[in-house]
Amino acid sequence: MVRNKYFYYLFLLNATINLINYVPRILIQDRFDGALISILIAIPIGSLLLYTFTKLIQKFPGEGLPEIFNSMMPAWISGVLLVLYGLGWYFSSVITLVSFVDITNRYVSPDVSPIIVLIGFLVVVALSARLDSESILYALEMILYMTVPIIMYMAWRVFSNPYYSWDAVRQIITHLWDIPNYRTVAAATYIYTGYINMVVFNRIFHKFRVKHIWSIVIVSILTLAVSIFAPIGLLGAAGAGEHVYPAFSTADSLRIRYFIIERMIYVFYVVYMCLSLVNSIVHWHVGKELILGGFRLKSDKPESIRKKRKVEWWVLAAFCVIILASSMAINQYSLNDMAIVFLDVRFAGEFLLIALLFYAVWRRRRRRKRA
Amino acid sequence: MNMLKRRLVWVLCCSMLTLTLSGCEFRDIDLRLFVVSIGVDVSEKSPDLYNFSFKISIPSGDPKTGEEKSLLITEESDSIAEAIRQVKSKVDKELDFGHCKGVMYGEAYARRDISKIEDWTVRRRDMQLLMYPAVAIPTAEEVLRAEPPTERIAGNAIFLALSEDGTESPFITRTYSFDLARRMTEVGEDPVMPVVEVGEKNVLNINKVALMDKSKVKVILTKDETRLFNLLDLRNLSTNFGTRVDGELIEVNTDRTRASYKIVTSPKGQEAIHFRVRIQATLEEKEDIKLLTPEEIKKIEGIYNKELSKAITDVLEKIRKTGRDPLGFGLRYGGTHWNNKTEMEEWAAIYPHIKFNVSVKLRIKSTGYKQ
Repeated sequence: MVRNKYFYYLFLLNATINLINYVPRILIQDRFDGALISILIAIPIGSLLLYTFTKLIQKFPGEGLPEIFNSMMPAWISGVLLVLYGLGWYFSSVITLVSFVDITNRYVSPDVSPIIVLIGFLVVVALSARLDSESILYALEMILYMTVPIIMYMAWRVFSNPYYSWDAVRQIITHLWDIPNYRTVAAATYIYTGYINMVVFNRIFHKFRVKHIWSIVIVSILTLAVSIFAPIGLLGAAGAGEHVYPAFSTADSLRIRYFIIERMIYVFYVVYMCLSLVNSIVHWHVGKELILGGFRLKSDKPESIRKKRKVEWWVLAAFCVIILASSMAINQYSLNDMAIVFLDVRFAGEFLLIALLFYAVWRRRRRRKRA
Repeated sequence: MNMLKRRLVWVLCCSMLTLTLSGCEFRDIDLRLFVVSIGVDVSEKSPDLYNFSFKISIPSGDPKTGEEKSLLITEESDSIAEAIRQVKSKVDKELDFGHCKGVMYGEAYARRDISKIEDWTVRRRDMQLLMYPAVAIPTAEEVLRAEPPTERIAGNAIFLALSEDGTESPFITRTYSFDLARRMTEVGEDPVMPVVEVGEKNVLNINKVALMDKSKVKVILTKDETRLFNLLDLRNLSTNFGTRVDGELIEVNTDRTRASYKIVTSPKGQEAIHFRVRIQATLEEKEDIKLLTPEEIKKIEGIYNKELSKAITDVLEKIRKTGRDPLGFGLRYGGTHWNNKTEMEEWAAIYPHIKFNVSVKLRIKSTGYKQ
């Protein structure tokens, strides 16, 4: 059993990792076509989704999505839905890992083969995703305690930089009244998506309640502001659109004077490597549990535990093979398209999830009345 | 326990395996040559050919001994990518651009079009965005060949001068390649670069700024104009200002400076930019041996305010006459106006006849140890 604070960590993890999952690039692509108004729309939508979800999941203490779905739907529907949600959630980590391998090759070690870097990442992620949910949350807590202060320091360095152009930011703000679009809203709501991890982690929460939802809203607004305005101020209102990884180019424009290393990019890289790995571990864990739940594998008897363990290896092996294959097959442009597709589908999937949970609450209430 | 041990050994073996795999393509530090600066000049033979100079630092034991060694290789080619491959066949070790911090554009080349090489420095993965670009007079090759006697690490002198680490001269305009790249694409802000000249006895003299038309150098300001430009561009310039009071010389040293401006657009046809420059200064030198009274300090401040306002207005008008906008007035205009489609055209019509109202407030905070 874990305490409620771990819910905030799950939110914070997704909020910080948005820089890797192409959110800044999508926002910056539309900076002259309604990115800002999309962000303003995304803030209430994202917070409302998060709030509704937490209210709904509270009705099922100690239950994960597999238990909820399996108890209220025909086996094949819940099976298909769970496998799809599991794959969708796993897909998020595909984008994180593949783009991070690309980043490693681009900025840190161009001489090392990308496959070897990826295998290194996969060994860590696949083995850690098998740990029990509590251990993963404890690891997440520690990683966040180490990285978030550094991220805040870097954000402060960006905004206090004498070369930071506030006029470029103002120029973007005057483009506020453009027409928003679905893609940018979907990308901006990614910040809030961390709550979805609760579909599995809810099993181990003790009396799950979320207080101070305003703190989540404030953190998300700050995160979105950093994601879009940090690159625009340093790389220019027009120039920010030219970079493949605006967040990394921004970090590369920072200089640390009184430190052992001179370029901020190395600090940034290490911080985001930790976050990408822990993010992938969490997503694999959730994806794996959803898929296993889809096949109705439980871990109550010793017999069934052994069976589940065996299938688990196969699921993780499939995860690894898919990533290896996709990293070889795709290039920079298809990766970007893939990220956009993921963000769009995910946004719609969240609404579906909430609707399904409403249905589950309704079913359960009716059943209780009848009993 | 036994199971855990076996698994640990397995993980260790895997990670060892990846280490050995990555080792085959990675070259150790003693097999690398560090290119510390690049220079670009036009070739005399053909307009399509360029002379690329690479200053390569040869690592030696102790930088404190001052026995620095470096190698300058100049290669003629039509593209820098080709030139690098040609240089690679002239040296025995692998070229490494990770420490390349300077890119010198020869004056003749900079007056033509720097965008090709500038794009290369931003695009190439191992080049930092923190490089120092500069215009080199007479040629980039001569500047790179100069080895000032104060230099301790090969090629270091030029970076120390161009960065804020080394000398702190009011005549040096500091810029980074991310800043240059930003200004080259930004609408309403034009790039600037410091000018490096080779003086007598291998001394590098950097005291001018080149104003550029997006991709080529248009005007080079004089030394005094450069100082005033730096005063307006960034905060806290530490410099001296001299004047004569009743024929006696007075010099002050500035502690804090701050320039801010506002664009006033009404009435139409008489648009103006109101510049406010605030300076806190200390008295440094004075010919008159009489002790100063507060009234006299007031008088000196008054003279300074008048003279500096006049000088700054002259510089701003000179810049305006060239049609360049290195201080980003246009971007400010765009950032404060909401008619995004037409604002830049409006600005283009306003800028040629805009007036400058400069008010300087210089305060002498102390007169040093003596009254």
